[in-house]
Amino acid sequence: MQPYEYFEHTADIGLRSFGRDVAEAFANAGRGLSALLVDPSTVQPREERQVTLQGGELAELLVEWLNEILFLADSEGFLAVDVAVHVVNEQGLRASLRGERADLSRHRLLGGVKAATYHQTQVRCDGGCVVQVILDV
Amino acid sequence: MSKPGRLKRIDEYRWELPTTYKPGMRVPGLVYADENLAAQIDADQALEQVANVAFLPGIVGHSLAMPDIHWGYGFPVGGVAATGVEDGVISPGGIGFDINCGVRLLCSDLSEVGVRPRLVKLTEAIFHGVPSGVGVGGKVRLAGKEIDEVLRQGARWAVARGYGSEDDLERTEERGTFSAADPGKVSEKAKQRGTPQLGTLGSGNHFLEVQVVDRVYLPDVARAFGIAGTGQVMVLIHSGSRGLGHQVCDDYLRLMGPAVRRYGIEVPDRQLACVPFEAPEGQAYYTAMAAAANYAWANRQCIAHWVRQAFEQVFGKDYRDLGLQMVYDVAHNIAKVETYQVEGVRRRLVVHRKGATRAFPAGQPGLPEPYRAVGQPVLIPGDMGRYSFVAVAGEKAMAESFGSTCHGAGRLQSRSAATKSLRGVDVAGRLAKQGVVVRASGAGTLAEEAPEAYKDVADVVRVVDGAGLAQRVARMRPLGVVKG
Repeated sequence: MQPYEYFEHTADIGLRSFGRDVAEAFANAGRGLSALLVDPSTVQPREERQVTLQGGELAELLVEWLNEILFLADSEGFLAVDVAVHVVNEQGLRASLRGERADLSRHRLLGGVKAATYHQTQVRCDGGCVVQVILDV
Repeated sequence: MSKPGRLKRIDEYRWELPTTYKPGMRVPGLVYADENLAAQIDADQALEQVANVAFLPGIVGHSLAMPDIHWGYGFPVGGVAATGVEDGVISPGGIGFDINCGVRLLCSDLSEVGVRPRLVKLTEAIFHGVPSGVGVGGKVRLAGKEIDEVLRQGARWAVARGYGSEDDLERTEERGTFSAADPGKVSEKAKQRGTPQLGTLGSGNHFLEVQVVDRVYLPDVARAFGIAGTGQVMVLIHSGSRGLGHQVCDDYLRLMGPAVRRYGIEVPDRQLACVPFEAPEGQAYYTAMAAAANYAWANRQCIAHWVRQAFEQVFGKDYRDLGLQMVYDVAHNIAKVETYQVEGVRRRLVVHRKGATRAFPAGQPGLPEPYRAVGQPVLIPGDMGRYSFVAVAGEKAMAESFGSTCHGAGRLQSRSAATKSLRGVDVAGRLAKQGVVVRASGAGTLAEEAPEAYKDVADVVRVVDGAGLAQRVARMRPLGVVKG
């Protein structure tokens, strides 16, 4: 099973990811987003960041989770390459990211993403899980 | 052609989306387009979004769509919606994540003939002078609470720091300072995102272009704007409020989610979350949005300063001696309280412009002194292979479109479709053959932003000209392009 895919949206990019459970699908969404910021093969997992979010609907948590990855990139230049979601349910999300700070001499930076939106956001679990979100780029 | 039951033709440039299209629409949609663009628009999902915007409580007149409209999230890009201050809502989705994304145009005394031999050097100097790229910080260091002053004063803060002149402020919408701003309504998180990024270009469709005037439509108006004739070199800057604006939008969308239910509002898309303008949440968002708009004006002011420095470095003269003066700086993602005549009554309205440019014709209050008699310059960038336009606000804009017109070419192809269709094509090499020098920091950006991904901006501008929203003044084509 492929971890994530991008789908068509006129001005923006659709991101759909898959997993055996919600946590894996959320982690794959994080990887799919990170791969739009930087070529993952150029990033080393040197530093770690923790992400903790309070509860809410899963679709809203998905948007918040992805926006947290963008927050780390903007506020401290942190680019994630290893993504692990430890817990995700209606009570909240706990995850860790490993990566390093942006360095133009080593990292192949890509186009960038402004935000994950609430437009057409979905979390569907039936056996495996599929989640999707539209990214504003 | 348009399917029956969707767009109803009104005249050559106007199409109506009737309220019967979708139950719940409070007003009809009004789409500005010619026959070709109308067919393209009909094929896109944007019309559904024009209908959804018409659900907003307190919406006045029409849910408007400019000819560059395309499918966005919640609101269409190229949409305008005015709601009553007393009885209407404000919707962060009607402004977008990139609050006060906008354009700034500089003119110069240089000619294409004079610039051409040093074009590669100039494009590279601009590319290195203005930071861009994911996670790459800016050159401005903000001490302690200084971000609050940026949010309060906007471009005025930058000028006080030595980035530009009073004249730049005179030729900026709101003089670069949106007075409604309240930095206290902007989260710490947004400030953390914005502090390292001040003075950075950003990615996606943001750009810096050295351009040359290749056609003048209205010579008198062009002269008033500082455009003497064809062959003159100009600079166009397109950027916004960076991560700070994105965070403000995200913060308030999250806050408004539950608030929507509390106020008993029903909208067909979570991304259209809105609250009454005068409610505490509505006022908090409006003043935070204004602060983010100020950040964007400060950002473009800093960027313009470094672009001027790049010219100084390459041509060995002070920017004033190169005539690098502001034409105008205008927002195309913003909401503002403005007064309009609605069915014979003067009303204060919250005008949401999402991918639409303010267009105030001659005589309107709020215009800078040099443009009061001629009207506001409207800046309409196209794609990097074809043209950009300078227009002047038309009379019909006040009566019909709440002082608004189009903002650009509008996307035709998704980024992935553009990348796929251009696989193996050397976009930079192809542009170089046309005489356009391109530098980009993000790998892959060039294919996504290639000319064929966009509508032809000339078609878009012909429609707003024909409809009387804005008249074409001059056309520019790109010489040097810097992409984030």
